Amino acid sequence: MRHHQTPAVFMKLTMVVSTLLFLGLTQGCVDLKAVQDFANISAESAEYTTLVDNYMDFPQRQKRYQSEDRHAQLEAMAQERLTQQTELLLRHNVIEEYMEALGRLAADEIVDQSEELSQLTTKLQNQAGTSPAETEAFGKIAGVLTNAIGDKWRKRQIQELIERSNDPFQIIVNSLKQIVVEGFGGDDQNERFAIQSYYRTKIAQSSDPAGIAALMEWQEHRENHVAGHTDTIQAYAAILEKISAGHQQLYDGRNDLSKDQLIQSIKKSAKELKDILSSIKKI
Amino acid sequence: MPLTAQEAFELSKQFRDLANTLADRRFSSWSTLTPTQRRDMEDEEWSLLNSSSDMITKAVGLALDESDASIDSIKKSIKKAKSAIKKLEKVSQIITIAAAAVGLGAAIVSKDPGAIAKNAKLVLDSTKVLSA
Repeated sequence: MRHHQTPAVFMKLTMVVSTLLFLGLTQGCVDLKAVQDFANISAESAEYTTLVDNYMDFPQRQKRYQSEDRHAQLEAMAQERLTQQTELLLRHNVIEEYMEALGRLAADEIVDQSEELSQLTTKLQNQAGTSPAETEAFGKIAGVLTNAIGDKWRKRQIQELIERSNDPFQIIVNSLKQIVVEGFGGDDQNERFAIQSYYRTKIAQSSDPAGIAALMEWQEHRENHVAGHTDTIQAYAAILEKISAGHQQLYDGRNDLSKDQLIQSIKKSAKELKDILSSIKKI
Repeated sequence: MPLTAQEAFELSKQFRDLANTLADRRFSSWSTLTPTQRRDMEDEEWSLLNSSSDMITKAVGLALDESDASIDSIKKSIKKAKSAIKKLEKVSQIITIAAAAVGLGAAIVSKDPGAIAKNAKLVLDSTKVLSA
């Protein structure tokens, strides 16, 4: 039996090796874990929309410091900002969705082969007329082939996605960064001004030492709150900067996403993003 | 010429700087100012501050407008990526290619030119189906 089986097994092994050489090894598998991790943490960062809530609430907080005859103007400002809310959240949502899609495309677990592979094994059995053990072996090899082909296709899809999206993605992220730094940051500076003007005026008008001390404490408390918010703004701007730079690196290296230097750099960006996001959530 | 978001943000800063300058003047000259002068100056400060905040609101709106086209473009990319993900999930197509590839391997080993050509075409056709 062994004499009859050996040439057959040899022939089948040769066939498998030929096929692997033809399709598998020549194409190579791509380590997309770094891309996946970077995309996932970027998507999680984009979920953070507390700064938008604060922007919406700014006119209401101003009412605390400004006389009633200015409240109508602040209310009009609040209404105008409310009309921007959906568009602002859309920026976050689009970055999140895009990064989720990129991460999912780069994820290995996307292909659940269990059922389909069992069907393929049956096909192979019929085609090759092998023994059960060999059929099982072919099934496993088919899995390797499936991954090799899937990887190649997946890599091309990711390359195309990054290439097609980089320009609009950079515009959206940089526009959001501008809104965060100049807009939300500008609000913080205006709020700090309002706090100082309000409390300094009250203090200058007062001759009660205990009252002045209390006012100074409240001023400090309010200013500290704004300072904490400004820290969050700066941290979030850094997150957007890293997302932008990371995607640009992927774009620049899109023709060789398995390049070690690129993988290391993207891994570093993902870790830094994770650290900043974690620090923001603690504020 | 229409205002850009950057110009509007710059204007908001200038309004805020003016409010700051006026406030500094009010507090540094507090003892020499009459109550009416103090109140008038303070009124101007709040007006300047609200102009600054209004300008921020305007600038944010402009920044949103300026990136609208990119939003549309990236939405199309997301749609395409999701479609690619769905295709990846349809493993049967990939399996078809794998099966065709194995057939090609067998044909190469058997050195049958007709079978090689037939199976090579199968692999090619399967790849086209997946790429469509």
